[in-house]
Amino acid sequence: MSEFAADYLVLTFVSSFVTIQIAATLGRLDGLLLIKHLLATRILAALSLLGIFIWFFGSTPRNINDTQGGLDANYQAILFFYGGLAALGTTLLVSSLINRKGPSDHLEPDGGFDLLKKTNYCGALRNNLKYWMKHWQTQMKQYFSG
Amino acid sequence: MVVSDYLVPLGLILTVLGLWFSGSDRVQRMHQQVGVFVALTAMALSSLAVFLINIGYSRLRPFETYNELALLFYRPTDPSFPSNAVAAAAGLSAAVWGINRQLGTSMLTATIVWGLARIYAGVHYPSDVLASLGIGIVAAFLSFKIRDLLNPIPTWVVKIARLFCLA
Repeated sequence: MSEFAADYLVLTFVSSFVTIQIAATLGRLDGLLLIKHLLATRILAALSLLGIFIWFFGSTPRNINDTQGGLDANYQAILFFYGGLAALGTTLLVSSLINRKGPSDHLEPDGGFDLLKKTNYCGALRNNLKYWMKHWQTQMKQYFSG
Repeated sequence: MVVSDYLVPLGLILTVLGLWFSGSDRVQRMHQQVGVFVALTAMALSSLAVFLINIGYSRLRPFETYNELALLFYRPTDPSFPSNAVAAAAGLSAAVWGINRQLGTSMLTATIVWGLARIYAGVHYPSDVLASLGIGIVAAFLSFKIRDLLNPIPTWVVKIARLFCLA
């Protein structure tokens, strides 16, 4: 991987991580937040976003043709996929560790993101999978009946 | 910076990523998450349309036609008409406009500014950018039709993601 591609991967990772934090404050998904204060999260996230873009564009010239070391659209998409996936994984893991004291039992079944308003990701996932193991036959019907 | 291949595309795709997480209730979230699939389909359709047009028609870039033009960008090697980058961005933005007017308007504005910057930099004619905006809007419209045809498949995908607390 070229230095340019590695830099772009870092840019996609950090910017995706920060975007998920901002979106989680808008959707009130407290279980995904690293800092519970919504305004502080938004300000820190906006500054991080600004900082990573300034670093990317300020560190070295970026207007380079893909035939001369730049990144073509397909490669950009692949790098964004990896960066975004890593950011999501990191968010789920770190936020679960930080918010580990949340409830993980007797939550609303099949809650999806709504569960993240009450608990952390690992707790929500455990709750959903436990419920599904018990009620998979009725759940299958409900899921695929439109 | 605005004309670059990285700022506006990444900004637009991050907005789409944010859309996945930001719905306030289950109904709005489902609407937005299915909309994310529509937006990605529109982007893919726009790129496909540009690829097909370029098979039959290849227009030289402004800096290749007018030697006196001061080029403010690197020398792209693909055809000028239509702008691939602007078409993909317009497809994405127009599809988001279909599900969230405020966000879609911001994204379309960023796309238009990006297109104007590319004209100013000497890599596109205004007609390249205008045609690309048209392609993006038509692709978004078709993507909504495809969503209606394929329903309930996108809804199933979101429901399965919900099982893993990813939607």
